[in-house]
Amino acid sequence: MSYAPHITGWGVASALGVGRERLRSALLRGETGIAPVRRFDTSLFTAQVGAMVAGYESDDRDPTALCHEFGSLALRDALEHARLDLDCLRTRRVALTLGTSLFGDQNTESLARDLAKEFCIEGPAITVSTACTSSTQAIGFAADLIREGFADLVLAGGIDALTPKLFAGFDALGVLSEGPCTPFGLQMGTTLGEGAGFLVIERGGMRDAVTYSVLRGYGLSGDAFHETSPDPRGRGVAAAMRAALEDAGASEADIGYFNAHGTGTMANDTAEWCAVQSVFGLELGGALPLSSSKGHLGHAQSAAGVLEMITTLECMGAGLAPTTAGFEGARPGGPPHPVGTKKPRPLAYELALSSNSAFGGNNCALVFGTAEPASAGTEEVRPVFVSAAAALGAGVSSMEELALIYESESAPADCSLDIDLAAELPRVDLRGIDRGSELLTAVTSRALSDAGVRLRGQVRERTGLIAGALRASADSLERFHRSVERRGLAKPDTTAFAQVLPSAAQSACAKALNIRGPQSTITIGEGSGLMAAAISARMLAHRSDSDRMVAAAVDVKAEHLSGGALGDAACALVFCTTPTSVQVAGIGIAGPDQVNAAIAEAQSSWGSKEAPELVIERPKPFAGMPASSSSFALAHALDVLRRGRARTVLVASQGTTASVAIILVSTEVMHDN
Amino acid sequence: MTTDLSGYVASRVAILDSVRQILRDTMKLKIEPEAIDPDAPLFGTGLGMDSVDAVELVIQLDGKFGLELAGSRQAFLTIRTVNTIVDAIMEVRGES
Repeated sequence: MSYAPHITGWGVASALGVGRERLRSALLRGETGIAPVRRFDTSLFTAQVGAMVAGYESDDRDPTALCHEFGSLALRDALEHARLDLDCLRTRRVALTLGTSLFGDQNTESLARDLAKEFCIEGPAITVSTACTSSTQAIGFAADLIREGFADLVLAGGIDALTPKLFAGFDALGVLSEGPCTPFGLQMGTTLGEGAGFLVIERGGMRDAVTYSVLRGYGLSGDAFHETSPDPRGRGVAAAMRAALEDAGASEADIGYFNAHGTGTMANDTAEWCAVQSVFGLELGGALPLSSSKGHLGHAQSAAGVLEMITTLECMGAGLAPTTAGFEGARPGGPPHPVGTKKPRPLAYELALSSNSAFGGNNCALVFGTAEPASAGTEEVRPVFVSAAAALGAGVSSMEELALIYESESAPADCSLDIDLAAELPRVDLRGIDRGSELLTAVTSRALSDAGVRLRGQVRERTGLIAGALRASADSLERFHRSVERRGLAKPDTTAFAQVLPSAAQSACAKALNIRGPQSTITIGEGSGLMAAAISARMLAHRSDSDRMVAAAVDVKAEHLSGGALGDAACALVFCTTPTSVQVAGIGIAGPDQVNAAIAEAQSSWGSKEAPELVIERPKPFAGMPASSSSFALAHALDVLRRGRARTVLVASQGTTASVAIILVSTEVMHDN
Repeated sequence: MTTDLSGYVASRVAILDSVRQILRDTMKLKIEPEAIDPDAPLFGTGLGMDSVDAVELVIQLDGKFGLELAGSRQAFLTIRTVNTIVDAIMEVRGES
């Protein structure tokens, strides 16, 4: 059964004001939230403007405190719009999907954990951390939670705060414009912003609520091209748009307005325009009303996607096309007529497309609007199989060693990972990658090779990667912070800056191995690997844009962390739609304290009354690898099934912000049933 | 070999080693510094350097050798190969 995700409210804390009413009136007046930066000294930089949340322009508190406050304000605003109170949220059927970066200084899931507590959200909280596509992807994953019945209501959005170090990094990369950015316009460069936005997305008909829009579909892709620049031909952006249209059951001609990522940089805007022309064709593309909201809101990073979608929703409801604030003339090689009037101009449309792209080549597009799908036929659910696994960690250099550790039930004596990872990595050029990227690439390469997958031709586009990671690689973080301490904010290490994201390992792995299908980096803290596996398997079952998904996890050695030291570890499993000897029988997702509910859900989706022969409830005995340990358990389950030691295995993990349970069975068991 | 020439060669070799070490650390190159071909292109198919690495390289070269590459039009002519960087450093030191 598939349920349509209805959007019944939204809320913001943005540069155009806190609260959707303020945002709306500022948009209608054609105002911009970009102004000289007052929060920190910008005299060192080439640009002096930014788009800070209104009322917080001089607030120089810790970014975590700012993010929490922005998130809290936006959530309250969204709940009021959707006419919900906190008591309504106090059920395990309410989930949170949050896109944020937090810039690697803490475990990324901490913000979602704190907000879930504050808002009494008892269901799963999933954090997406893929830089500028974080909130866009969080909205896509929220759609899946509703459609597949894992939740009745999801609060989905993103939060980010503008810090001096972030400003310094972008400044050093040379991508900031001196004045307020004018996407697609004559001035090159972007303007950084911040803020928070949340949508209330729910299963239609659950309560008496106003449906403002229907989230019809989303699409993900990876460029596998470069750490900071998009593929100049816009290939990845186009793939995400096509996947979103297909997911929505819509054609290009149904789209009445396109909200572009439109950062204002030459690289982004040109690539994006190439993508529009490739997807819509020259005629349809040339006539498509499109604009970028970054002239109003700056580039709000992890919150960009949700704030731009809300901008579109506000204007769509008023029968207007959002404008590109500041646009005064088209640049050569860009769209000739982007919507660039002073105030939003009248436009009637029922379906909109919104797209975002991020560092490392992550792309995400959303299709939403008032138009219902033409056919609401029954959705085809594909059976999903597991074809291979690979694991690397303390005392684990092969699947055989993993089996030995599980069988002896003792902790590995040798706690170091002593493998020459570099020897396992495909070498395109002589450049190296950081530790997290090496670990994830090596383990993914092993798993794909074990699965007999060669990433050539169309296989590249049809292979996806969902990684579970709690933070950026410790070596890149240290290198970046050290460069700022030693050389000052005017001279940060740009190579390290491009890597200080939890998604850096996933994009580097995708680039090294040529994985261009749906991809993302998520975390639920402990248990992240198992959640990545659940998302990968569900995407394969319910979507048609990939044939195999690698579900991976990576932890990078780091000392002196508040949550305890971490060790080096990584694990990857290959899920596919081609039959193998092991099949995914059931998946359950629930709140952090409800591992039993997740197990019950997995059992019920399996549809068998039989109890699994082997239960791995607490991934052990690995400490210091919060993302990978649950993946290790799933990899071990695959091994047990392949060797005929059991016919049905349940793996469950009580994670930091969600619980996950997956039942794997011998394919013959499914046939017997 | 005259003293002048051997002094020049020693100085050039020392700078060459230093530049190779900076390149290796900046780009985490998977080869030993002495294996970096001083005439190989830094960008593209040579060492695989890109504009992001180049910004970091310029900061390091300016800081260590007193070059003034940051923001200069000369930068992209200078950082073509290890040898072109060494030439620029020798010139700044008046040793060319």
